[in-house]
Amino acid sequence: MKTRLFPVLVALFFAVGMNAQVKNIGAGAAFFGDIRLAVQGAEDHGNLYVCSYRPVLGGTAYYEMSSGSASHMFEIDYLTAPLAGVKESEKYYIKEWESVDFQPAKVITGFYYIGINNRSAQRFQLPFYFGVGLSYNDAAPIKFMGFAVGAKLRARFYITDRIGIWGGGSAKFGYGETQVTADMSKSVYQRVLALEAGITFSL
Amino acid sequence: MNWRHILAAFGAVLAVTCASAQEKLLKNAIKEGRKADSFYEIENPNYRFSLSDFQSLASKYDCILEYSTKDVQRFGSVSQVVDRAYLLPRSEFNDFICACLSRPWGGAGLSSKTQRGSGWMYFYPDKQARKESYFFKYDNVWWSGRTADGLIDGSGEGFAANDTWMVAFKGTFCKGYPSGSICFRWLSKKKTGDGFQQDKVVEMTTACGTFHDDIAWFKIGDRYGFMDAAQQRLLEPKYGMVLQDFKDSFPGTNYAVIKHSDGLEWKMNRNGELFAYSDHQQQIFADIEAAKVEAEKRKAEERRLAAEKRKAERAEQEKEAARKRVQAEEKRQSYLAAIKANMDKSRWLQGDRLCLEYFNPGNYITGTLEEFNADKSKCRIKIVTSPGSRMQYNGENLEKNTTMWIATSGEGWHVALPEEIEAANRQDNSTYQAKTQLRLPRKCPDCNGSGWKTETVTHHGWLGSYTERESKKCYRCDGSGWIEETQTLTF
Repeated sequence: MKTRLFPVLVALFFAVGMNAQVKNIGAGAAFFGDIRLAVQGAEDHGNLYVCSYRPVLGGTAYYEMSSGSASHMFEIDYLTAPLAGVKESEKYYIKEWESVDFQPAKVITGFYYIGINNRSAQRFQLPFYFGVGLSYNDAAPIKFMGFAVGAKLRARFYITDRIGIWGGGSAKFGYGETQVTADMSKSVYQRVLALEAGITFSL
Repeated sequence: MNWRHILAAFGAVLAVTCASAQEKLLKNAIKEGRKADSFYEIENPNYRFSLSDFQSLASKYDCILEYSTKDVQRFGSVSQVVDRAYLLPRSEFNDFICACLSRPWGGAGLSSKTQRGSGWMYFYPDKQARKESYFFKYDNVWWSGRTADGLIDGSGEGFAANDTWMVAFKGTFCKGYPSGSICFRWLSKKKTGDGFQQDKVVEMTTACGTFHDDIAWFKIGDRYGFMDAAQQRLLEPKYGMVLQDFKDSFPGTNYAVIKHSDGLEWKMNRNGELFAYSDHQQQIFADIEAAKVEAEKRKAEERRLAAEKRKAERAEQEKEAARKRVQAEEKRQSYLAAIKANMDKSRWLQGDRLCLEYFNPGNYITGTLEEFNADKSKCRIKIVTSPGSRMQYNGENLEKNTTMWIATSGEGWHVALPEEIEAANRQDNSTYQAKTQLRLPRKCPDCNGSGWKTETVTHHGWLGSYTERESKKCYRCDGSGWIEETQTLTF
């Protein structure tokens, strides 16, 4: 029965999407921000490595279906950031990473957001989004695919009835396991903060 | 000067610009003119102005505002905007009313030149007023006839209006009250919940009786009610007909006769209490009661006659049954006498067909008499019919053409009567029939000899269901393709 429920849920989701009154697309650029990756040690060893990457540069694209003050949004981000610093644990370390140089970070995320907009149908809007998604990180030697949750606040101003500009900030928190050797992996906590701005169109 | 002053100045300039743009639109609309029965129409360019903008414009120029809305996609969602606004200065309102309602009955009595009268009148305008009074006083009436004591009087046409409704009427009034049948032509401008459809003209007819003892009937639609002159007390218009007004009441009784919605005629006092049936109604009830009694009597007489008829029929049936019983008994006695006579062996001759009732009534053995013995105590017969070829009589099979010796007396053999011969022939089973059962192989009808069957099987998966054809071994022939069938042969 559980396997049969899945297509029903998918159909229900698309039915809600079809009922959406307005469909919007948008694109933007992330011009400032911070990426933090914390590699966890075993049990009570704490953080073995805490890597900071900044400033963040990248792009974002989304597709939003809004109905009144609620909306669904699918968004893809591509972010890059140079290494700013690595804080190593004083007691523990990973032997394989002893002579490794940490590289700049590349993060690709795909998110599904639910949006709330109390100022819908007005020229100036302040929508708030929260959602879940997947995050792919490539910051050698840390490389993993993980689950993430995120939230974002945007300020949107419509220049015409259908074209608007927007800016805002987003925060994403992810978790994954990076492979150190073939038989050893370490937990990684990810935090991505970014300021973004862009343009939106109503279809 | 700081940024707040700059912002305030910018806002003021924006508001002035916006207001002047609206005024320009209104002036253009007035310049283009309007139809006699419509408002000035203003198109909202790019839905630039909101409803509040038009409301302030209407307030500034003392106009009545109507508007139509439209759903448009803007600012990332669908919103309702003012599509067109319709404005009418109050100074032109009476002209507009005249254009809308001036010819409700084809006459030309009501026109924009009709002067405002100083009188006032009663009519039933809306639900709010009906809670207290069906006829309410309105003192801003345009009336083409005369006035008396400040009330419209005599025959004429008139109209009255406010922001919510407008009404034109024609008929005869008596000191403000409708006298006789008055036709009202009503237009509700807003959704007031009074039952009138917005912007649709409806015609209503009302009538009012003469006041007697300070009370008069009135009619709205097809229902009658009562009111007093001071509008202090009235009875809802729920009665079907006023058969007798208060003026017709005898002194001291003081009642009216009305026909209620239940179809009965009642006497009603001035408080609206139905205290008794009318004389006519009581007469109707008496007639109905008498008709019921008469019907009961007629039914009882019909029931009595039917019972007598049934009794006579039963007696006739019993008589017929008794006659049939006697006939049957006589027939049986003659039959028994004939059999007894045929048991006399001295009357038997060679070749006679002898008969014996064998155990059960109707089972007969018959045989042809061939010869007697010396003292005629026995005779030899050849079996012609019997109930069964393997049944036995005195140790011998009762098969056809079998000969046997029988006692000529004491066992019931007698010369067969024609009806016995007929019955014996009917139940004859004296010829022996040998039967055998054979098991013969034949092709299985289910699989047509192949031993395999094709079946359609439906599989249910989480993405849905699908069907496929599968070959299975035939259950009936167990895959052999042949089955054995039993046949019974008689010879």
